Amino acid sequence: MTLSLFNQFLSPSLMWTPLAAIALALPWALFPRQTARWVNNRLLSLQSWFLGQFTQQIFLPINNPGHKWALLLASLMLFLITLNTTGLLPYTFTPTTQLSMNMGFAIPLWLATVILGLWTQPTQALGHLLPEGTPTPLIPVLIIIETISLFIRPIALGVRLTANLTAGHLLIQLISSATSVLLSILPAVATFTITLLFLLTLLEVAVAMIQAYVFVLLLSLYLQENV
Amino acid sequence: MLLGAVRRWWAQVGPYYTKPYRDVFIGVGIMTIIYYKISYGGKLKKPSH
Repeated sequence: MTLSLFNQFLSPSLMWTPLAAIALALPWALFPRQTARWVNNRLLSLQSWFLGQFTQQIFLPINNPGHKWALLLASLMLFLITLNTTGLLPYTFTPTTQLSMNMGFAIPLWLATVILGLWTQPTQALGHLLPEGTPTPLIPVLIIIETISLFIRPIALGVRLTANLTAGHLLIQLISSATSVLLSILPAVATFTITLLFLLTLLEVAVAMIQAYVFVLLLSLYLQENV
Repeated sequence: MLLGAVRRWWAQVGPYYTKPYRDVFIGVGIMTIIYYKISYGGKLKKPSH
């Protein structure tokens, strides 16, 4: 079977049963549920502290009606950050490298913010298409540009996450295969590639967490505009 | 037992699914249609060989 560089991104299946469901259920299994105790153990306290901090930070600029989205955005953030970071382990499948999954998150949530804005406050939502202080001759062009930028948003959201993670995984694979080939031929150059691989892995851990945060932050911004 | 679990789950998430997340489900439906149109070429049934 001829392998290419992109075989690592194939959705895993065992005898025609998709195993991606197990990869998607992993974040749920990794975070324990709240107990009925007043003071929980360290892991649970750390988890609830992080979630509380994150939710407070994200929802600071959003009006009260938007706070109904706290559950959705906090759980989305936890889901994405877990999927991204566990995908950096060897031989794991990262579902967020699949464009279909990221578009499946981006389009419904972006569309929900747009529908919410158009339903509850249509004038204000349409008013976002024209920034304040625009010179009069520029108004028609700017409305077209702002409409295009509005419709580009879900595509950008999905593709940003996909591209960042896919590129990172590809780079890791390329450099690590270069290292393993060079170890027997030119060990001195291999030390350079090993250092590069180490730094790249650190970068990928940071990118994994930042991209998840950026996804949810942008959604909260779109919500802030429309709620 | 299962029904009790479903009832408890719905008691927790029901108020979200029925009110604030209704707009999300419209997008989910649109995404499903787009996904099937792209992966199955517009046909909902796979042609049998």
